[in-house]
Amino acid sequence: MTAPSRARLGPARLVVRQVAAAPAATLAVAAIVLVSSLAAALAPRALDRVFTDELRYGVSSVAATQRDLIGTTIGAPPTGFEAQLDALRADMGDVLRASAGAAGFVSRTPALGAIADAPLPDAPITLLSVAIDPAVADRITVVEGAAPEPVTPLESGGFEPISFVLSTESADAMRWSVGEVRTVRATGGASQQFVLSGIVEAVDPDSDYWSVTTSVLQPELFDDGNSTPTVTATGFVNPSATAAAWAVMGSLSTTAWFSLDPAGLSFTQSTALLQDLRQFTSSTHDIAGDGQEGELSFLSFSTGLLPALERAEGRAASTVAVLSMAIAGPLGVVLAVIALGSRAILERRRSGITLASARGASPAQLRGALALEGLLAGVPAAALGMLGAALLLPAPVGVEATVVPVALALAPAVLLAARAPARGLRIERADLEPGRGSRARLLGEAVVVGLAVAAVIVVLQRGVASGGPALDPLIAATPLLLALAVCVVVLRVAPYPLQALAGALRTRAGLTGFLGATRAVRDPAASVAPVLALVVGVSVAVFSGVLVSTIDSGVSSAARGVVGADLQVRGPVFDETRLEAIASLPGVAAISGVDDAGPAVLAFGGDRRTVTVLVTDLAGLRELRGESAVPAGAENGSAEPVPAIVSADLALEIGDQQPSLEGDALEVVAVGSPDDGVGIPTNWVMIDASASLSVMGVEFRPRTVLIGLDPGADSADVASAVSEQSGPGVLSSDPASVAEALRASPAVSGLGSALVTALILAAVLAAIAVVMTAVVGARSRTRMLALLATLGLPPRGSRALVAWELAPVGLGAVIAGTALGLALPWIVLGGVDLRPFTGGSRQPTIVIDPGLVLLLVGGFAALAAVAVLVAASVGRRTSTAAALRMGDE
Amino acid sequence: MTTEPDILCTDLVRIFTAKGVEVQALQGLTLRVDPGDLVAVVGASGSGKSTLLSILSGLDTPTAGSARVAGTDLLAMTGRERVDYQRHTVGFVWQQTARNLLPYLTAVENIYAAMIVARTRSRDARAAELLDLLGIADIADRRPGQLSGGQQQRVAIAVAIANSPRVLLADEPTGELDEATSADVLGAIEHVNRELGVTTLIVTHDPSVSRHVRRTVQIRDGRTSTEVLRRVSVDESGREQHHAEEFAVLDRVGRLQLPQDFMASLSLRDRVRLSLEDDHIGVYPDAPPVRPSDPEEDER
Repeated sequence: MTAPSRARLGPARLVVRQVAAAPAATLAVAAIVLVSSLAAALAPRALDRVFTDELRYGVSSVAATQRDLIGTTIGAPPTGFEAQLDALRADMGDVLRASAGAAGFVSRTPALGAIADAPLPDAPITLLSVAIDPAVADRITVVEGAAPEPVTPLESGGFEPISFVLSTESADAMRWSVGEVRTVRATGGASQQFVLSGIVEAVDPDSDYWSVTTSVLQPELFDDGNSTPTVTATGFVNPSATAAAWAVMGSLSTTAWFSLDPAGLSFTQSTALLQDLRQFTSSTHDIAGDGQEGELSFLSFSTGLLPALERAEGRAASTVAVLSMAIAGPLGVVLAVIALGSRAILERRRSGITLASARGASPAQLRGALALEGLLAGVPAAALGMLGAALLLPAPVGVEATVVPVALALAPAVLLAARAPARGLRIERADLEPGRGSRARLLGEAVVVGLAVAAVIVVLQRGVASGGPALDPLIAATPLLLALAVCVVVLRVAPYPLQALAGALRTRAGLTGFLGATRAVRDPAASVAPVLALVVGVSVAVFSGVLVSTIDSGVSSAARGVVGADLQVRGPVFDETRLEAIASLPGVAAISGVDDAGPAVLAFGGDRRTVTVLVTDLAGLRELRGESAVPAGAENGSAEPVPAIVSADLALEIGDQQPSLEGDALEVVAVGSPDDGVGIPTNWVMIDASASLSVMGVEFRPRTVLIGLDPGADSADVASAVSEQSGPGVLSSDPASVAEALRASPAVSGLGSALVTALILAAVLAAIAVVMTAVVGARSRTRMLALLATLGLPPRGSRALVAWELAPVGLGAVIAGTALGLALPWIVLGGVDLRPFTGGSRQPTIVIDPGLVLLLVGGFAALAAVAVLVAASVGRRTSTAAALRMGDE
Repeated sequence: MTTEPDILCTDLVRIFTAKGVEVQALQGLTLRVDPGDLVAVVGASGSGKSTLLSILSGLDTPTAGSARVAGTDLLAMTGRERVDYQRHTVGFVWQQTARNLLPYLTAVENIYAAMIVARTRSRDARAAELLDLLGIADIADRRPGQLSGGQQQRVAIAVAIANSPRVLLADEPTGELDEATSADVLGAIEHVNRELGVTTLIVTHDPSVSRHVRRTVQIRDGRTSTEVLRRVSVDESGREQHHAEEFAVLDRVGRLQLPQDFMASLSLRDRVRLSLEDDHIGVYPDAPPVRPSDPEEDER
């Protein structure tokens, strides 16, 4: 009798049939899961990419020669040094070892005068240092003469003339020809003859080796025009001549290195690399010797890569911290929207559930069926999302990156199962008993508000957590908790003005206003979800706007702090004449030379502190920065005590004690802000040039000049004019170019695009939430509208009623969201280190750009309004008769 | 009768409370239905008959009194017992198709769905049996939307008895049907009742239903008031004779409801006088009081 196809109708197929019968809500949930899991799966991949870019950017900003791990120690390498270096490499962390090349080392002596037997009249003074490298044969080729021979000791002490090789350039500059013997006098007075055995060329002149082993290929020339020029060059002796070189030249220093090539390093590995590098560079490595005098016994290494990696790491940590705050809100909204979607699914399944429940479906069966539907909606969509993310952005990501997509995959099933009614669905009238369930609601609200308050207190108390864990769940969750708390407040407060409004509209002609306001009070359609979506959306938008303007102005002010004026030039010593020439350039308003006179001891009370002394032309600085920064009389360096400006942190420590610098009493005439230190944020003392000699015992020799420009003057023009005047060694920087370089960092630009993405996501979610709320509420509304239609309500009234359902609460949510978005930076930014983005030394002050905020809020309000209009057109398609008959149930 | 009745309600009370307002839907209803019986409960709108059915079908719980259906105490049911009760003890047919059948399943699939919910085994055989019994084999593969009202209710009956319940409840099964179709559907219920011996209770406001049942119980103000018993006899000339007798329902403590028209014709109000005779009780209007302490008050 029964067809085979029927026989296969089982519980699972029954659910599938049910879904297939009315798939709209399920598909909507699936679409939300798809998009959100795609975004959630893309986020860590995109971040990994941004951080990797940032890492490479940071690495590329370090000169190739400074990337290697290099250590220099006084002493000769013991036998088996190479093997010991290999052992050090073997002991490195895995990631470091993978990017570290084989060890190399070279030993060098100091440079000593090499005197020809019959010096030419115009011959320069020649200083020779010798280098010993066991692998020298791989690095140079002899182009003339012969390779150096092993040394032969003399019975009388000393050695036969020691043979060595020089590069063509060095030999030419020293005017030393092959076969010529010169005498080197060591510090002790002993002398040793050296013979140039050959001329060599580098196998690879571009190798990093030559930046470690300097003055080999190119000799160092010193010619100040007054005295005889000096040529300093380094030659290679035979690799076996270590002991001889040590004995003759009196000292030997050994440089060992591991080349580091982190190109192709991904961000995920960089944390491990950083850890390995820190470990490797922070410890002193013992070297076992042969027990001979002058052997080195330890090595420690450093690399210019470490600060670059640390900077990249810091930016990554701050990016994650900021984004987790910006993303947690939308993620919460995604869950709320999925919850709304499951309510919509439940609405669609109402008749089926009621029937099945009445026929004896157990709660477990109902839960199971709904969970199955949830899985159908969530799992394939999330799988597609994750697959899409993997195809769009192939990047190595850890298991933790799948946590959110998997949670999203299961969310519909969990939410549906949790909502499954124990005994079918009965429509309940909320307006009759508004007090019912209020205790549970009150409890829930109290928990949410309590958590939000607790989170704020903890976050505010903790302050900036620099170098802390990359993702702080508390800081990430705080904005969401606050948004929930604001929702609670909005939903609680909104009825009061509405009630007043309903009262006011009661006496007016026209039904919709009064009815709409009354319904909004008595049977509110707007639940937590749309309000949360709007509050979160608006607050994320405003928060992002504030963050963007804060970082932007932070970058500008940090750049200005680094530069110290409109233009800064650095380079050779700017003497009186050069300074005067700069001051007279067109466009230059004021200048002040700055000389970093180095560390000095500042004593106050019983405290002694090593500070950086900046010697500067304080009169010029006053012109640059005004009377308040540099008070009158500060330039009087001969006064007792000496007037000085100290950095804010020092001023705090000194208090009202009498400070003295290198024994000279100081009078603190002004306190400088961190930006005044010309790139040195803390711990500095600034005195006038006229006090330089008496206090520091050195002449005022400024290598940095701060230049104030006339209004309208172009800093680039002035910079090139200075460069023309003072020679090619002049470097210049102005705040705009420094800021531009900071903004070019992938992490900074990546943060911007990530915030924009979060903003768009939040906006889309808010729109979906509004429309979905209208869909969920369609059933009760159509019934009421049908009833009203029989009483003669025109169709356009229905649209107004939908608007009334959402608009008042929506308006409240937008206002509250704006307030929250403006308050959030003060609450959460205290817990996030923004300095990696600004490059400044202190946390940037929060800057609100009213235009931007207005634009964002206005855009959001417009979007919400459009969503309400769309929602209003949803669910008007049910016929009056059908709706009225539904009401009988 | 020594066997336990399939439905036994005693002094059943159901009070709905909303914002301090109490509505007494059932005010001490007493009803007894024996196994295999076919009973109609009639009453006007708001008389409490739908409440009674909700309670009997396990969807609602009475406030007080006692209700036992096929050995299950409806007041002391656990969640698990309720599920079991709804799966195997009762089946029901409601007035609206939407509450009986899933619109996206065919007729036979609806029957399967009910058996799947109840985890009934050998569904194929049972489904075939039901299609035959209700004569709906030819429309088995149609969806409810493609069926006439009468066909829908036949399918609904098949679904209701798919899990072989002891009791079949029907709430206004003919409420949306014309007279001829109504008779057809009632015939189907009678047929099922006769063939399977399933105890059947039909709730309706349609007095014509009572023609199809042996016993009709009238509910008034949340209480059973009268019963009409029907029997068929064949007279000498071979013609069927339908006999209908109306009874008032007497509860355990002796309360009964006098029919409205009796009260109206004798202007019975507030109080009546009773007198016990040999084989009956006389009820007299409250004539000018003879002795102040005499009358026994009707409690309403």
